Amino acid sequence: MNAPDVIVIGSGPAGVSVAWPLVTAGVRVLMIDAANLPPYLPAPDRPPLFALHRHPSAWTHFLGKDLFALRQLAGGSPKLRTAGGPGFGDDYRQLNRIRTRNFDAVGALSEGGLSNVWGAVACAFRNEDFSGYPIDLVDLERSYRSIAERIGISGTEDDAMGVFQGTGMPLQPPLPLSPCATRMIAAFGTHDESSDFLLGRPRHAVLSAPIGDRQACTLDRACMWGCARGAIYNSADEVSRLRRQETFAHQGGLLVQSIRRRENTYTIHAREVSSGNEAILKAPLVVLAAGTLPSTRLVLEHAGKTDMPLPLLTAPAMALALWLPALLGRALPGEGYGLAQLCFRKRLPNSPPGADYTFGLLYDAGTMPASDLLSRLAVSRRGGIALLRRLLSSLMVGLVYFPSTYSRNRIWLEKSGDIMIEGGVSSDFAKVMGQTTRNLARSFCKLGAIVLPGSVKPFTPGAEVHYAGTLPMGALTSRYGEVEGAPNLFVADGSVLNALPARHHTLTIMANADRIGRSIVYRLQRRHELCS
Amino acid sequence: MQPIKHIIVTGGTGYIGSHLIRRALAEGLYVTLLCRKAPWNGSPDRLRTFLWQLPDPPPDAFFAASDGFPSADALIHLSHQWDGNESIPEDINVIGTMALAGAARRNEIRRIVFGSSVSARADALNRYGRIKWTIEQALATPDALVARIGLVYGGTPLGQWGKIFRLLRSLPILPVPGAGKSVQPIHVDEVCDGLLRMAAIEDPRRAIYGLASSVPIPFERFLRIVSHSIGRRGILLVPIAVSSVLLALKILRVVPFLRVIDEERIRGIAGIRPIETRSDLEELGIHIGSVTDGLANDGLLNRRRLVAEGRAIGRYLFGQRPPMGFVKRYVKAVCHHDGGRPIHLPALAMGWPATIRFIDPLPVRIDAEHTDNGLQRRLQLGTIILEASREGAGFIFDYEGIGLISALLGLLMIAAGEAFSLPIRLIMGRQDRQ
Repeated sequence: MNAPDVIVIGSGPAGVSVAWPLVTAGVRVLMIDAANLPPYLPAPDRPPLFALHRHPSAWTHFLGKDLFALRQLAGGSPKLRTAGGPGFGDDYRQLNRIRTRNFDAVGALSEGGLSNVWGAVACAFRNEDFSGYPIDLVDLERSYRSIAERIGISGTEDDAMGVFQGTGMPLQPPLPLSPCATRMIAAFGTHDESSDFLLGRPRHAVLSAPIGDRQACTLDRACMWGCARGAIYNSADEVSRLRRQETFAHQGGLLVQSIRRRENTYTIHAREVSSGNEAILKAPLVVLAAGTLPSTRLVLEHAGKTDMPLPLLTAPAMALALWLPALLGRALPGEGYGLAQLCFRKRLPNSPPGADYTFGLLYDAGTMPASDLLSRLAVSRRGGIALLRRLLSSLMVGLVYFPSTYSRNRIWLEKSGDIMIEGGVSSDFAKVMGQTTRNLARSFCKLGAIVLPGSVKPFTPGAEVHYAGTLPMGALTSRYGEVEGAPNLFVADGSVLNALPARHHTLTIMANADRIGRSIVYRLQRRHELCS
Repeated sequence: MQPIKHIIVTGGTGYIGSHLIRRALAEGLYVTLLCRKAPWNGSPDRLRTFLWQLPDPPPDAFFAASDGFPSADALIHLSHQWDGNESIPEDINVIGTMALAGAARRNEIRRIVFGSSVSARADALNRYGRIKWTIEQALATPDALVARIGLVYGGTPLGQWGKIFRLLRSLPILPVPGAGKSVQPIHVDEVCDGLLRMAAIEDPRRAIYGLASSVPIPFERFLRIVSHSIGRRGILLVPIAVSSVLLALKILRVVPFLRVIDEERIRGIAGIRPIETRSDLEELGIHIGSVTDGLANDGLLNRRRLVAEGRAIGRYLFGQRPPMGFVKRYVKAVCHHDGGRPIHLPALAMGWPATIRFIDPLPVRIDAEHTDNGLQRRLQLGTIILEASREGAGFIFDYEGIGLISALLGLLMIAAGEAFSLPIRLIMGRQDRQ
């Protein structure tokens, strides 16, 4: 595209969500990303998980050609290893020039970014979550609904976590629960909102009914190894749809090095990932949606602010194993899905609103790679294999997230041009984690589930991949994400969120990006009117 | 260095020759192989074979450009016929080499490289050494260079290295004639390096290059290093006088079919005298590493060790022989994603893999970037592959349901087993950290 009105950097959920309102209004948008790999899809005829486990040549489906699923032997989410495809996530730190200390910086230079491997939990913020923000739920309501309609969210408002995850959203019917989850929900019964512990079904950006080219989930339980049907939302699919619009163009394989402004034009200096050749792009308005870490780097670089640490918000997380003795010895289900079966909310005492709860997800252990489970258990591998055979059908894996008030990470730009991230948590986090674990264990016990001793493990900061808050709205950026001191340079990804509650924030990033996109449309239209 | 494009190789089916050809092809050279019978299955591009043997006069076709092959730049002559009783000047190797050299010169080949030996001397104890010396003298012209090759080891176990390798691997006791003699080892890859450089070097400053370590070591020490690398640390090497061995062989000659070791070789060891090679190697720009390093980096040895490691780990994880395809994938995974080097497993674990349970490391933090513990990583790798196999998945994923009682009993047994091994694992883990 020769003379775009707007360049959007990044093809993940944020980039796509800022692009849609622009493109719909006829604005000429050039989207660029640093994708150096073609999008990976598992074979369309891949059998469901239970059949794969009996398949004589399951190797290829599980391990991939060239055994790419065997890289990164240890790491946060197994899904990065198994679902992303060859080379996914490799080189992310090196190409983005990110160095870390006590921090796991995770990302992918792939069309669609991390939405290729995300867990697809899609819940909205509630009013309290906006404490510290210059905007309110009312500013995002329209955007939440529009995103939900566009991407398809399945779930229900009719259980204890329904209101918590947002009301009035268009929802597709929820996917059926596994035996373990069904049992826990039944044991939970009904509770009202004032309850200290709430359990319910999570909202997922997963289709239970088809939308356009994307098919509904076929319940093959193999989500951890990628979804060939497009049921799990992947913003790469939206890039394909955007490409069909006249005023949209996409160029992949470009890694942005710096952004410069002269008079009313922004010049983007990029490098072709494959050849190393320089590429220069110009536009009067630029939106950064490359993900918190790269976007922060580009803004700091543009402003020339080296050695100036900024707080980087993460949602400190921990994992645990939950055992349901009542289901011991049952068969594993042949049908189902591999994403979070249940979600829960547990109040944190003596905490400010928005940061006064932990949010957790429960997965069926039988849908996860057994090797990752075994690597966490203190038993020997041989014993562990025998153990899992007996235990797997009654085992769930829990992920518990804490609000960003407990994170103490810092990010800064060094003079060399590298980004340095130092991870940390607050000094009282260990205590709070311990208390929460004990409280949760009690709540689960009432539901017939036991937290296995020794299974509670905190994540390294960053491994949970919830990054935000480096360029907060109303401070380093305006309430529309425009960078202070850089007119027409916007940031629309997690960098601009002011705080991270314990709940997942991807849908909010998308809604905020949509809002920012609309505000840019409004500005361009006004400018056009004033000129003519 | 003048780039060479096409080399002719004799002796390409032998130990050094086969490595040389593989290397030359990998570097993009065209190779014409002259040998007694066509050895290669399938013909790689850029390799053509002509049937030939010493002392047949080589036709000009060997050297000419044709069928996409450029004209030959260099001839590397490695073939040697061992049996022979004639007087040295009439030996088939001498006559044949001269004929070959004559033909090469007629066809304007730029360089002849003759594979000789450090034992090449007029008064060598073995016939081999005297033959090599004679050929060296006869070849003395500016376009012919002589490579005096030392004790070659590493790579595919063929030729003399193959014999040594097999003896060390299978015998508990090995009598070593000439134990104290100084040998000059060189890895077969280093020999190939040297030969190719000799084929290409412009303005060579000497006629004879020693492709051998400039730091001689006793023969017995060489054997010990090799046996360590193969994992036979306990082998007993017994120095024995050369004269005794020769006497024994003379006696045994009476018994037909009992010729284990060539007398020639023994005489060769007896007559070893180290040669100066430092400046030769400097001029060629090659560095020869220690035998320990050479074997540690040896692709073939590593592969064998990895296969053994894969079998042991597979046996441990599956509780029985792993299915076909496991070991292959394990080795591939280690080579692609975990450095490609074997880890050190104690001999007990290799022989009785069930005992790996006692050294199975305890888990580290949930998302340690890369655990330092090699065994931990390999077990993780093995488990991922196990899970991806039908047999392994069958162990873990139960879609029928075994029932409550059966599960409970199973859990109790596992708990007992784990309780038993946990203290040992803790102790072993602490030892590891020290």
